[in-house]
Amino acid sequence: MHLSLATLIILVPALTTLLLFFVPAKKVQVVRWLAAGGAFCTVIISITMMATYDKAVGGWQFTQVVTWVEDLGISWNVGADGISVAMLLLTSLVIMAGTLVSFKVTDRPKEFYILLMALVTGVFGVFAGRDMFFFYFSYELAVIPMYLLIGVWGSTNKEYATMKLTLFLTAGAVVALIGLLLLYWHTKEFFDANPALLEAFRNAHPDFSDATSSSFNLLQVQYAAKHAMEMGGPASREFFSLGFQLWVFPLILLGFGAIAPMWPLHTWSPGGHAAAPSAASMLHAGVLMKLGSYGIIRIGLTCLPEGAAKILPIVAALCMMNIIYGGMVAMAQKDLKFVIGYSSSSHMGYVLLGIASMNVIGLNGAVFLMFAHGIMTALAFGLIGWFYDQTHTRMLPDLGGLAKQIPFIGVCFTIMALASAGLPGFANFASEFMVLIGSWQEAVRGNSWFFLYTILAVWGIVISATYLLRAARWAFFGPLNPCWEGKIKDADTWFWRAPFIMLIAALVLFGCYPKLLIDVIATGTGPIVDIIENARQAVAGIK
Amino acid sequence: MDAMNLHLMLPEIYLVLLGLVILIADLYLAPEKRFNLGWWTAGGLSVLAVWLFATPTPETVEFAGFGLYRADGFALFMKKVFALTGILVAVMSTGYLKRYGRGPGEFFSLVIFALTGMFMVASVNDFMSLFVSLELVTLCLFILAAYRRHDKLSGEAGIKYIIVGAMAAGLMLFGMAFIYGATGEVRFTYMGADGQLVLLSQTVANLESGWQMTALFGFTVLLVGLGFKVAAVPFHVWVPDVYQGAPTPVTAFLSVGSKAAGFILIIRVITLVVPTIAPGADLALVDQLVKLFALIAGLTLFYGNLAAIPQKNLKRLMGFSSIGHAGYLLLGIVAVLAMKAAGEETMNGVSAIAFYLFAYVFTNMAMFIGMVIFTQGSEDSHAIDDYAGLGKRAPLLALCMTIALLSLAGVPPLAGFFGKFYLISSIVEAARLDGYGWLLVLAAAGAVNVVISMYYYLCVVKRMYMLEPTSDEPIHLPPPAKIAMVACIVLVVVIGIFQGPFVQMATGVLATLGF
Repeated sequence: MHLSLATLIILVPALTTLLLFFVPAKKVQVVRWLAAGGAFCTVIISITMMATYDKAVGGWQFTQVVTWVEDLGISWNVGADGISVAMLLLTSLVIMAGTLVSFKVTDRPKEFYILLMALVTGVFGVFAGRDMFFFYFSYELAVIPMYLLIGVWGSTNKEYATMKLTLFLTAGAVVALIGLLLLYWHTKEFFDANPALLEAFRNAHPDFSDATSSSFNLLQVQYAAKHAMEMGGPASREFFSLGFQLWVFPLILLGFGAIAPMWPLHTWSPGGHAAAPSAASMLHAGVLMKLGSYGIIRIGLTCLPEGAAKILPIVAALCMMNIIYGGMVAMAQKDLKFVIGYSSSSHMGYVLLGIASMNVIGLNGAVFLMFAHGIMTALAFGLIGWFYDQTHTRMLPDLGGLAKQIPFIGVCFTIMALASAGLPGFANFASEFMVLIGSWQEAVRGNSWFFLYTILAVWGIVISATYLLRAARWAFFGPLNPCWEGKIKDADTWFWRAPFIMLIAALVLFGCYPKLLIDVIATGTGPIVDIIENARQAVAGIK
Repeated sequence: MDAMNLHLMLPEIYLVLLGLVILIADLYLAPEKRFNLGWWTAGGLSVLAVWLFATPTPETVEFAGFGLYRADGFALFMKKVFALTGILVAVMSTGYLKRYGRGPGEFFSLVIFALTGMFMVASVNDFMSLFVSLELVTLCLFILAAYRRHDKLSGEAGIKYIIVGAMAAGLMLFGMAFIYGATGEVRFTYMGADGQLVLLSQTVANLESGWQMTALFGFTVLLVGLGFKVAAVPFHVWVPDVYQGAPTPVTAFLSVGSKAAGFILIIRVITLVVPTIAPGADLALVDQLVKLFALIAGLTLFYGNLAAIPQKNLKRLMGFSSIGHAGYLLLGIVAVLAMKAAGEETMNGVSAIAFYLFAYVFTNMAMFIGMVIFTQGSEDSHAIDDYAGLGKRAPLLALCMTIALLSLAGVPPLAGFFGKFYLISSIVEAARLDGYGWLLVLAAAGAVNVVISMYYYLCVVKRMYMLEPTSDEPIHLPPPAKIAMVACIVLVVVIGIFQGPFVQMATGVLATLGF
């Protein structure tokens, strides 16, 4: 059977997970290299996807459709568009770095890697999935391994943090589930009432020539939404009316917003990051949080655009809390992981702001920032994990001058801090800049609140520069705390340096030449912006 | 219809004979060999299971015993569930009874007779056979619950079960009498004067409104009786004590078999006796039932899951969790009722329940087999704290129990996840009906309870993996129980990933349900 790349990128970590079960726990080296091999394969696949993605054609590529549960309209339906390609690349880079960094794990490494691989299977499943059921399935799949990863291998109040994280994310997931099910049944009613359109859908998509009215296929739901919205005014039409969208979009928004994390649903995140072992927090902040904003874009914006058009301006206000409040709290932290944790929720505010500005550059910037922030924050947690394993403290007042002991890590950390603070030349700068322009455009278009948001967001960058440089100075520069004298080892072999160098290289590559990624992303965001734009014109003037 | 058609009842006849063989063999076997009767039971039931799985799903309903007994797709499906339950109970009881050292012959024949009752329950077409077969189940389980007769808790379990069971039976009879009084008929499907099959629900629909109210009252009381069987709040009080006191394999049998039997009967009564309201007709009768069941389902969900949180004893926790699962299954019932009230004949709720029960067998059985292995057949270490550090003491056992717990909590890629997904989907479907938008609250309750249940299941997982062992005594995994447990877990994962064939099995029951 022919397997598309999108199927492969999910299957590889899944099979790695399965194989790891059969490796004897004592063969630690085999376990490690098997996991690293699996991760490496995903890197190869995602780079191939990136390179072979046909930008001129755009849309979904590398698709594969296999009927899974016929009675309910569930199918193994995967593929990648511009947004997915970027996210898959991000995920594979982070898991590669994560597996390499985790070579240090000595406590039950087999179980550790099994969970890590199971988690990343779920993440790939979300990013390559085009079926709402598998989307949800993969999303939930990513949550539970995190529970055990943090609970067993974590630190700092881990039992509390991990339970809170799991319950928060599950609660978010089930809220989103209700929204997805409403969409599913609504689509079924729509196609039952308009059988001609179902026929038209089948003819338009040869892959789905046997589609029935009940289907979790995201493309089919989008098709229903598009045609339903052409059938009358937002308030008067029978299906996908504004009232329906205003009901369901908040469910999707809150559900996925919990993991995004949107203020005030962010409280699980810093504690969770702090408690997690390095690889888990790398994946968590680097990739898992992106599932939320990805879900909002992928399902909320495309299936419920009018609801989105009405509600996103409110979300923009919440983003300000993320950016400013998150940044302020990060400034007050003493624990280095908490600094990065709050900085993550602050940066994710920019992503949401980009989405809320609902225009091409804003959305492109948001997706690009998801990528850039994922790499940057994975780098940060990997570096912190490196010395935490040796110092067993991350409290800034206890550190100091570490750069003298571990110059390589210190340099990487400084690069990370500068990148995160938005220094030109790194992907973060390019993407945050795009988000700000997008937000300003929205303001110019008529929503004058966005003037204020843009100005505040620019201040947010200043705040982030403050706390990051402060953290870098406190931990790595100044006089060396004598108790670490000669106690900490640097990443002195190329093997240990590789993951960090790889991540920095990605930041620099896409920072200096953002076109490489943005051209791909734009093929994915373009159609979404068109959908949103139509919806905005339809609901303009409706309170 | 008016024929004995004994060939349809062959599975039940086979079971009765198997039970008698066990009883008689018990008399002739040397005492130390009697414990092998468990393997005889498991073997005999495996033959039955293979036979049932090889039977094609019937496309029409056939009747036996002069209309007392029906053979249809749903009955066949549930019999498969019961046969698998029986095999697993037999496997886990064998080691358990060896340790306990008393009366294997009676034990296994009682298990088989209870199964016979469950098989009959799956095929009831008549209030009389409903009552008799349900009593057969209850009486056998009562003796089994009190099987450790020198153990105070076990005695308490038996007494509580019999008293509550008797009261439920009384209520059911009372309700049946009202329905009979209103309709003059005890069969669910019967031959009308013109030679056509008539459903009791049509008869009820054609009654005058006063008699309809009488019939409605009858249903309500009947369903209260059944509520005791499935442990729906507020008829659940017996559950924790009985689950805790009964021998662990019997608790497993109760939690799966007895609950499934109750749900079969509720589905039978609802699909065959409660009328589907034609559009525009007076909704009151069925609408009231929707509201009643929605309330019960919501209470059951929240009570079961919230009360499980503070439990210190794993068996009690499983008792409360089983109340919570009854709440989920009731969601499917509410969905079916709401569809009926809106005049629609779609019954996704039933196939969701069928799927859930099928998945629940393996999940719950794996959990209970794990508990039997862990306690090594005694009944004195069921405290959740005793499981601390199990991940280090017995990695395989801990892994299997963790997967079972996560499946109960509804985590992908496990069977329990899809079961909950399917049920919540059916209730959301019902909420799309005009006038039933409020059912979304119930769907939300189902969703919230996923989170609540996740908390207490994870608390057990936490002890297994995140705490240090309190004892370093090695845990011996007897091979048969180990194989059964691992097989269950593999099935839980397979069902959770490749849902298609199992959903097809579950939707296959619908074709012959409403005739």
